[in-house]
Amino acid sequence: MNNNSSIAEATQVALIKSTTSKDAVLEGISKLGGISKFVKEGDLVFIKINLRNPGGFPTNTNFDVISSVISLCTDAGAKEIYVGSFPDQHVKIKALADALDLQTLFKKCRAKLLLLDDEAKYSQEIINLNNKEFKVPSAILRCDKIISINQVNVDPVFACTLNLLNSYSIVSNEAQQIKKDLRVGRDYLHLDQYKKDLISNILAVFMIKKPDLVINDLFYVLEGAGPFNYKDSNLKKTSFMVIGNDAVAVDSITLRLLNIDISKQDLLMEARDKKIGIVDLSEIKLIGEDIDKNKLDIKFCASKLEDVTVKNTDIKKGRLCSGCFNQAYHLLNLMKSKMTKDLKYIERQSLLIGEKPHEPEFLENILIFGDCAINSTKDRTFRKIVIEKGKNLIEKAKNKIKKEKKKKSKSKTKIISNKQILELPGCPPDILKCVSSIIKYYGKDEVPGLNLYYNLISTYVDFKKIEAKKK
Amino acid sequence: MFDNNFKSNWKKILNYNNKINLVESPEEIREQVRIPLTPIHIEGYLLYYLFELLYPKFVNDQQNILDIILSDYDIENKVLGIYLYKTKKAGIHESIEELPKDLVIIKEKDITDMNQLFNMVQSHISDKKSVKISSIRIFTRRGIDLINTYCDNLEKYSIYEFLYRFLDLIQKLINENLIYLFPEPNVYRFLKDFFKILNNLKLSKLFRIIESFISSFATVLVFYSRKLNIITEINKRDSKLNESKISINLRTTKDLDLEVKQYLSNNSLLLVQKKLNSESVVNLSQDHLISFFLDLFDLEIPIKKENFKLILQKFIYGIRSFEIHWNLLPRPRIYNTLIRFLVRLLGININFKKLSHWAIPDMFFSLIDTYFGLNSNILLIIVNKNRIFTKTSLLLEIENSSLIKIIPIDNPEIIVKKKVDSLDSIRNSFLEKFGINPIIVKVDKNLIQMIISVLIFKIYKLKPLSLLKVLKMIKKEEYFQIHPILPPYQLIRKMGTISLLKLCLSILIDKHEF
Repeated sequence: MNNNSSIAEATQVALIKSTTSKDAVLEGISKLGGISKFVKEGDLVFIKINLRNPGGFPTNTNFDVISSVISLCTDAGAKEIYVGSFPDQHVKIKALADALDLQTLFKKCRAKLLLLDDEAKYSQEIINLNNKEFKVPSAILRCDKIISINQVNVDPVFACTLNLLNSYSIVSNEAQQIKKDLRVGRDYLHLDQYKKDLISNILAVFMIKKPDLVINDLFYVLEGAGPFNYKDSNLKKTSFMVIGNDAVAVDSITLRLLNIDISKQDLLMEARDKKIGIVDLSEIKLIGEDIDKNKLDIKFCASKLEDVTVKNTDIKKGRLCSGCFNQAYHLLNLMKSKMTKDLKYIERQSLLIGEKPHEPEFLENILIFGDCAINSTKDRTFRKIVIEKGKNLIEKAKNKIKKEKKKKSKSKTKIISNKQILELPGCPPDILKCVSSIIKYYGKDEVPGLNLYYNLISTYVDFKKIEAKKK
Repeated sequence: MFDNNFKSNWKKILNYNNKINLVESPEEIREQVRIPLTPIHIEGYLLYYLFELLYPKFVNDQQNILDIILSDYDIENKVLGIYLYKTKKAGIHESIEELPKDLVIIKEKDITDMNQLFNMVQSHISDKKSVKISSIRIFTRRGIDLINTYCDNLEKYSIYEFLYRFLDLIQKLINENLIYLFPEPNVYRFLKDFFKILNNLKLSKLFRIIESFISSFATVLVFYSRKLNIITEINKRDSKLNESKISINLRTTKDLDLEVKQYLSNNSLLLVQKKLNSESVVNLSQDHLISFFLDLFDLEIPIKKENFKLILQKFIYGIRSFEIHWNLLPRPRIYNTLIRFLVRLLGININFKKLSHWAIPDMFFSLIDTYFGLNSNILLIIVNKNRIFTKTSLLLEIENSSLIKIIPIDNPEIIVKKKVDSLDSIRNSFLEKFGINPIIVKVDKNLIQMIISVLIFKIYKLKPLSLLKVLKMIKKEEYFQIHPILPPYQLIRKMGTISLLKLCLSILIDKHEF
């Protein structure tokens, strides 16, 4: 009993509902004992935020919440306050910071944005985890205190963007990629080895430097489609904020608040099994609102790719891992959001995903997504098309003019490879490479919407580098 | 209770409406009346027609109306006057009957439940006058005083002054609950909610800002319908004083001796143009316009993204149906097939008849959602050669892609003292004062004037080069700037003007000609 109470004492989570996100943060931290409980005078503080791409709210962490935490840390006497994160694949922090003018903004709040991917400026320490080398910026490792502020949005793989996922981006996006590691006697797809490896890496990276204060911002939650702003996305105001000192406990309360069955959340179950944090409600001291009375009704991401209805697109799915599911989910939502006009021009296309997908219904515009789909459809019939050989068009026209009956001649046929197929390789494929390949395949005039999107991304992503890497 | 000037004009209208039922061809009765609450004089038959057309659609489509005037102070019985309009046709006020004010007793608490109040009044009137009323209009004494003050010397006002004061009157009457209508028409509810979004911003101020963007023009709008074509002559001349000179004239085709029914042919439009000596003549369908506005007023405010997309689609569809649902004289050069063909040879596809009405709203919102965010604060600063132009900058508060508030920023410490070219310092001041991190959009008045002139008032002169000129201006920081430099703005700055035009047109115009 004594033991239990001491755990509860240690693992406190505040569930706060307030009128503004700023007030919710301040009230939550105050209920947990005030900022001085987490940050001491002279501490070097690193605030880990979501910094995915130069998109608008809620793609990245709410600035109001970050500025409130920075001002609390300043009041607590922190020596230096750093803010940072590694962004999405191919996005440079400098480009992102310039687009959102983050450096001046944080400077104004007396904090500093770390350009973590600038290795010349910020040295990296190599840490070996799960037989993989992770480069972690020394600037983060040197900090006395870590505060993790996470914007909660729906997510296709983990139901919602948890704080544990936010912690994963203290390493670069390249390091976050999961390489396909086939093990003898184990079915990679059936066991969803991709997700298992991903979870294992997330937890390993999380253990490098556990955050001291964890904030899950649910004041506004992106529902329907996420975690980026897509056509089906909707922003729901819940007015809630979950704050605590244990990321696993905070995530566990967040999931419960969102009415999600924790036992089906592999990431949290693994964290519990590895004793990384507290998951069970009985072991968490909950402060503030009553969780049972405040369950939220959120519309989560489509759990099946077929449920993401994209105009004129036929989805044929085989067996697939979470990696391909995640990327295909984003590609489909991207098509739905950015290709309104394009999809009308294209008229029809098929998207083949996963191992041994079903045969496409039409022979034109077949997009084969991912290595599994490409390799398992090499011998499929849709790869070849039959054409009539040596058609004498002049003779045919003459006959039509003379209204002569068709002579029954043996028509010669030829089998050639179907050129209307676009392979999008990768395990899982890279979305930006897919975008550039799709534009090349259809031509700019056929996909004006996607072409505009490509031009917009080009302002902060170096596509030439991506193309060079591809070659 | 009403001002004598108002009353005499109103009586004149009632008499006219009464006479109309007695004659076979009502348009033959020539009598000038004033549109209530405006200084504009028109033919009595035209006003009759406007009431017959608009009142049932926008206010109430049933017969018999009751006006009640209430005291602002009495609690036991607030009624100061009751007036019954027995209408044979919905909206056509032809007789007025003053009823004893103790016929209905209305207490302070009754006003909170309009439904119950209406039922009570309806049953009283039905019992005592054997008339079933379909709507009630309640005016408070303060509302009447306000209207009377407004009507004072109304005829001496210029159109500019009238519009300015009229907008203020409407905003005040609705905002301060000085009038009530039951059943509540959609237009009333729409305005009431819209004024809530405007916060402290006066509609007249907004009008002044918008009006200043419009340079001089002289145009004639012909609203066609099967029954009556309405010719509206609008002229605007800029003056060096604060006010512009605006004139509005409403007539029918009969007034111009034009014997045309329904849709006007190009020859008839040419006649109208010559007779009225105007720069351009626009021919619009009354039915289509009414249908558009009915749809607009039907929207709930704040307007949800999906609803806004639909109304935008309808609007763009309207623009694209040139020579189908509307017409313009002189015919815009840009519609000339040879010009379009030559321009297309250069890879530029300009065909406004193929505007992608079905795709533009989607693409627009996708862009805004992605880069401005679903929640955002946009500070709109209008400048004139880098000097603050209007003394009012607007902060647009957006939540879940819906505009929820427009806040005028008059704080001189934030904007006026700061150099307008230093948007960064304005943002910092904003952060300090209000704790808000806005996206600042700075637009020069000349750019807005240019866009409005090129794409609306002088569209008949539109050339591909004018579009390039507009784009070139947008690319220049002195005319247009967004802070922080978000990807769409970066793209505008980075891309060449012609490439940018081609990129925009590929989104705006359908690829296929047929």
